[in-house]
Amino acid sequence: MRRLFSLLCLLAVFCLAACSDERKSAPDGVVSLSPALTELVCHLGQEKRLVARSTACDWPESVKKLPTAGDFTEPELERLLAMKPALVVSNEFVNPKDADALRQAGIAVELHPCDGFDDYREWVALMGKLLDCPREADSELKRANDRIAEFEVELKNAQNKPLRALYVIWDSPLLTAGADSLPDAVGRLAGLENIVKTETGYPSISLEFVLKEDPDVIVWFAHGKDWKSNPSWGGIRAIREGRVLIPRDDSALLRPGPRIFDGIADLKSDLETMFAGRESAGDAQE
Amino acid sequence: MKTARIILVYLAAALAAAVCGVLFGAARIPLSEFIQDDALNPIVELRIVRTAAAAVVGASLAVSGLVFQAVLRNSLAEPYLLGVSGGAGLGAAGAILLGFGAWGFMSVPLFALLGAVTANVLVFAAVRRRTAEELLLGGVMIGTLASSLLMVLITFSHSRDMAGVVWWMLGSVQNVDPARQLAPAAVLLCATTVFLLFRAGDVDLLTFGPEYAWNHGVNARVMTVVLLALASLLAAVTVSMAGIIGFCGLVVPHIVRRLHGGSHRKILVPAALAGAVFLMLADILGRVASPVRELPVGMVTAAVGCPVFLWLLNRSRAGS
Repeated sequence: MRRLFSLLCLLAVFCLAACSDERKSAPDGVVSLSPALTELVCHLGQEKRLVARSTACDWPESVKKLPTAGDFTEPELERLLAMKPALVVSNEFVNPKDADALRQAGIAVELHPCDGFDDYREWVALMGKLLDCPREADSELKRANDRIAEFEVELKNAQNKPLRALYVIWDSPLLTAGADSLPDAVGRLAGLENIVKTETGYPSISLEFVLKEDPDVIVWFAHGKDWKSNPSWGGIRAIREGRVLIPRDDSALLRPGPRIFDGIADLKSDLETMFAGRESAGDAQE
Repeated sequence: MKTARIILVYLAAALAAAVCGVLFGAARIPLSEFIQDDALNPIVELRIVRTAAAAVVGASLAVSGLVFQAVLRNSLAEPYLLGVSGGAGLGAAGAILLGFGAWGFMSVPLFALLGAVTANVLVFAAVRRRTAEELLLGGVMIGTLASSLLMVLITFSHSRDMAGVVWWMLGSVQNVDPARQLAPAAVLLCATTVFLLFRAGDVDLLTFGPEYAWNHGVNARVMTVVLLALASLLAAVTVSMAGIIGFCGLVVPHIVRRLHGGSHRKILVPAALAGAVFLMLADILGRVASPVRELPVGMVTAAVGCPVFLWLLNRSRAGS
C-alpha cells in the first residue's frame, strides 16, 4: 500500500512538472492588444492560445469571437486581471503603470515596438520562443525576408524613377506619414518615394507644401473620408487628374503583420494599373 | 487721436498683413509665378483664401470678446464662455468619430456649428433669470458637460480618429471653403458690427451694470441676452470654420481698450481690425516657422500674444 502511494505521488509530481514545463514554454492564455500581433499569433498557427484581443483586432475573422480587453492605449485592467492570462503582448504604447499592475498579478507582459519590418522580424522570432513554435517562426522569418528581397530586386531592376507620393492618413487637418513611418517603408517597396522627407512619425503638414511638391500620386489611407468635397484639395494636380489610390485593404498596409507583403504586392499592382501607358513618373507631371 | 484716424491706421495694418499673408508661406514663389497658364497659381489662391479666413475669424473673435467683456464686466471673459467651445468640440468629434465625416467636407463644420449653437440654446434655456452672472455660470456648466461627453466619445474612439479630433480642436484656417463658410461668416461679422455700432451706447451703459443701464432707458436683460447670443453665434461660426482658437478673443479687446479707451463706438472697428491683423500674422508665423509642418494657429496666438500682452500690461501700469 505504501509503495503504491509512493508511486502515485511520484506520478503526480511528474504530471505536475510536465504540466508546469509545458505552461512555462507555451502559455495557453494569451492576450494580444495589437492587431498586427493578433494576426501574427494566428499566422503562426497559435490562435487556440488567444483568450482575448484588443478592440481593434479584426483579422482573421475568427478572432472577432474572442472577448475584447481594451486596446494598447488603454487596456481594460480589471477585465484582464479577471481573465488571468499567462501572457499579454502589445506594442510599447501601453501605459507602464498598467503593465506593472499586470506583472504584479503574475502575468507575463511583452511590450516592444511594432512599427516596421525590423520590428516585425523581431516579433516573429520572439513569438516563436514565447509560444513554443520555433519552426513556424523560422518559416515566417524566411518568408518575410524572401518577400522583402524580391521587392528590393524589383526596385533595383525598375526602369522608371519612383513615383512621388503623398500618404494621407487624415484629410482635415492634413495628417501624413513621415520619413520613418510604416506607410513610408511600405510605399518604398512598392516603388514610391515619400514627398515628406524631413519630418518623422505622422505629422500634420501644410497644404502649401503639398502644392509645392506636386506629388505624382496620393495614397489615401483616410478611410471613409471624401476628398472630392474639400475645396482646398482642388488645387492639387494629382487630385484634379484623379491620381488618388485607395488601397484595397488599408489594414494590411498599416499593420506590420503577416499580410503586409500581399498588401504591398496589391499596392504595386494597383499603381501599375493606374500608371499603365505612362513611360515614367515624369509623364504624370507633364 | 480721432476715431477715423485710428481706424485708418488699423486698416493700413490689416492691408499690410493681408499682403504679407499672400506673399509669404511655406513655399517661395516669385511674383512672376503668381499667374501660371493664365490662371492664379494654386498656392497663391490657397494663401488668399486662408488669409481672408484668418482675417474674418480674428475679427469675429475680437468683436465677440469685446462684447463678452463689456456685458459681463469681466476682464477674463472670452468668446467661448457660453459653452461654444465645448459644444462645437462635441459636435465635431461626434461627426468624426461616429463616421459622419464620410458625408462630405462640410459635415464636420456643420456638426460643430450645430453643437455650439445647441450648447448656447441650452444655456439660455437652462438659466431662468438670464442675468449676466447666471448666464456665465450656466455657460460654464454646459461647457463642462459638453467636455465630459467629448471625453466619453474620445474614450470609445479609434486612435486614428482621435488624432483627427485633437488636430481639429487645435485650430487651423487651412481648410476653409470660401463660398460655404467664409462668405456667410463675413456677412455675419459685418451685420453684427453694424448692429453693435448702432447700439454702442447701450453696450457702454451695460458696462456700468444692468441697474445703471436700466436707469438710462436700456432694457438691460433683453439687451444682455441679445448681445451675448450674437457674440456667441459669431464665436460658434468661427469655431465651425477654424476649430478652437484661443487667446485672440481674450487679449485683442483688452489691448485695444487699453490703447483707445472704453467707448465702444470708438473701439469696435479698431478691435475687429486688430483681431484680423493678429490672426493673419499668427497664421503667417505658423506657416513660415516650419516649411513642412504647420504650427497650429491657436498655439501661435498664445505663444506670441501672451508676452505682448504682459508687456503692454506692465507698460501701462508703469505709465499710470
